[in-house]
Amino acid sequence: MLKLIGVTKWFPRGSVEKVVALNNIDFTVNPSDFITIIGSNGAGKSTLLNLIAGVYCPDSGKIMFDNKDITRLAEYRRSMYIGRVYQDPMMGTASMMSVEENMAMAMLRGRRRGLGRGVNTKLREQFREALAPLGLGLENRLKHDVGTLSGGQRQTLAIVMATISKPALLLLDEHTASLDPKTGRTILELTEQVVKQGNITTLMVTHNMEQALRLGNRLIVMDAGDIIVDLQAEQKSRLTVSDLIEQFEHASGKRFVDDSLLLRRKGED
Amino acid sequence: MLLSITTITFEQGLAYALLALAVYLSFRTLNFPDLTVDGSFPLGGAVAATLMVGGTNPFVATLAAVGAGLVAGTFTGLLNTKLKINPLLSGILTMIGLYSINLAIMGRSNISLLRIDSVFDKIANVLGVSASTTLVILTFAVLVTLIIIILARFLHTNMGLAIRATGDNSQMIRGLGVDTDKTKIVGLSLSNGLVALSGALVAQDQGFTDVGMGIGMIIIGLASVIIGESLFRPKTVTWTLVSVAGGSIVYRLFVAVALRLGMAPGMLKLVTALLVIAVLAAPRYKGMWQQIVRWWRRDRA
Ligand SMILES: Nc1ncnc2c1ncn2[C@@H]1O[C@H](COP(=O)(O)OP(=O)(O)OP(=O)(O)O)[C@@H](O)[C@H]1O
Ligand SMILES: [Mg+2]
Repeated sequence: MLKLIGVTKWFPRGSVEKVVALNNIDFTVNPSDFITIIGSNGAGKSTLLNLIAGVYCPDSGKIMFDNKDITRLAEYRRSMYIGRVYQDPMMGTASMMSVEENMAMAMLRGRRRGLGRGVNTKLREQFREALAPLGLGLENRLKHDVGTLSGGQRQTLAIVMATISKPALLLLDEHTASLDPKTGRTILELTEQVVKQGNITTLMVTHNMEQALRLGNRLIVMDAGDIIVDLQAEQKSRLTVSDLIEQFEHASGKRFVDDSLLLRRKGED
Repeated sequence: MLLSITTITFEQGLAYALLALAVYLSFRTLNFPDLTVDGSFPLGGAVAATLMVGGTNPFVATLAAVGAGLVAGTFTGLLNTKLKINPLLSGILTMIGLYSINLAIMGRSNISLLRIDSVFDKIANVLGVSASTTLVILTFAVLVTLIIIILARFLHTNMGLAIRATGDNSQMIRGLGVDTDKTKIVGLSLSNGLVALSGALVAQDQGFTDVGMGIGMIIIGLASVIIGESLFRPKTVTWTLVSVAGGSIVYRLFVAVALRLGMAPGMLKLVTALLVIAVLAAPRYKGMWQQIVRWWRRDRA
């Protein structure tokens, strides 16, 4: 459904120098894929997601979505198909607006926004139903500003908002990394659940190797702007964390250093 | 004397409440410090006055002024979104350009409206009363209430939510499929339409318009917004709108009292600027002040 063909992205560093954030990437995402993405800091993971979402355009190469060329399509136009959750819970929600207003905006993903009332009784009921099962009491705080919620509550809301209108593609960029371990686990469970329920094609960046192995049907490893490992479900299910490290060292020609690469073998993100 | 202070406070406070609401729309809702205001305020006066002198019905002339304001705001929005010029500079460029445009429209630097029927005279005619200050105040009160109701409704529509989200978290709302260039342009356009309305009505109320009457309008609007917000501490959008209008009245009370106490009218802009600085600085220095109080107490203990 999504195809990147020879995609390259440079960023300026200083006044003359440039750094290549993505180096001639070929990458195909199949419908219903749940792909986990790992890689060291600066490997190009966020750049990959930003290019897919259309935050900026590649310097060369093409991005195809359902056989349409979307390489130069404005970000707001592709968001019809793409939901996103960021690392920072602040980024996925509007803090000075209420929970119900945030939900209402998410319901209209990619649709025309006219002069109809944003929130009405019927919608409010729908929001309550969507939020109540999460067990955070958000259904009773519909009128509260999102800025008064905790990070975990905000991130939960962000996931609901990203998926409520059933986007074709979900992009998650370390979306549990800034939460405490317990909340992170809850958010991850919620993610799995909504992805499965909506059968949403998903790309999830994580720094947690265990998570990357456990979740999804495909795993890619990025390094220095390249995809250096691409594992399908079958290979992935047989892999352990040590195997993965071995694969990484083999493919990148670098030694895996637990801390400096910030790829964690175990534990929470 | 007390009566005259009250009258002036309400007359001016309500007349400029429209301006304050407009500044709230750009500064707070869109998070866009729009300096176009200093140009679109006299633009409203210039368009309305020129048309009225030419014999146009004052209501039509006032509507035309609003239209001109909408165009001015759109222009600033285009500078910022399409040419990627920084928000402050976009507003300043339009404002400077408007100075010449206003002069060109008026053909001279001021126009008197004393012998021409204003909207207030027309309303008085229809109601069969004389055009008094009370009538002007009531007219403004009704208009401000109407505008607050319309704005409050609008900001709760789907388009209104998208405009608010553009100022709150533009990345997020773009991610939900909103063209934030468009929401910005719409917001700035509405804001300046409202400013021009304020300018057109102030001109008719005071009986003249002057090409220089826009200077410092942005600060007056901003002063009203932050006075209203810090005094009434509103929690919802609707109450914020009411508070901002209230802020405009409080600001005028402050001005009327200061003038009564002998402040030279020429000092008004300086004092307003200092007032805005003080209110903006207050939260930052509140902690410091409390610290000083604590030290002082501890030293005495
Ligand atoms: N907006 C930008 N401007 C300049 N350079 C950038 C920008 N975004 C990314 N880069 C550079 O591109 C490279 C890839 O960055 P990217 O953010 O994609 O890495 P990442 O894999 O997401 O890393 P992390 O794990 O730290 O989030 C880095 O060298 C980074 O410095
Ligand atoms: Mg990243």
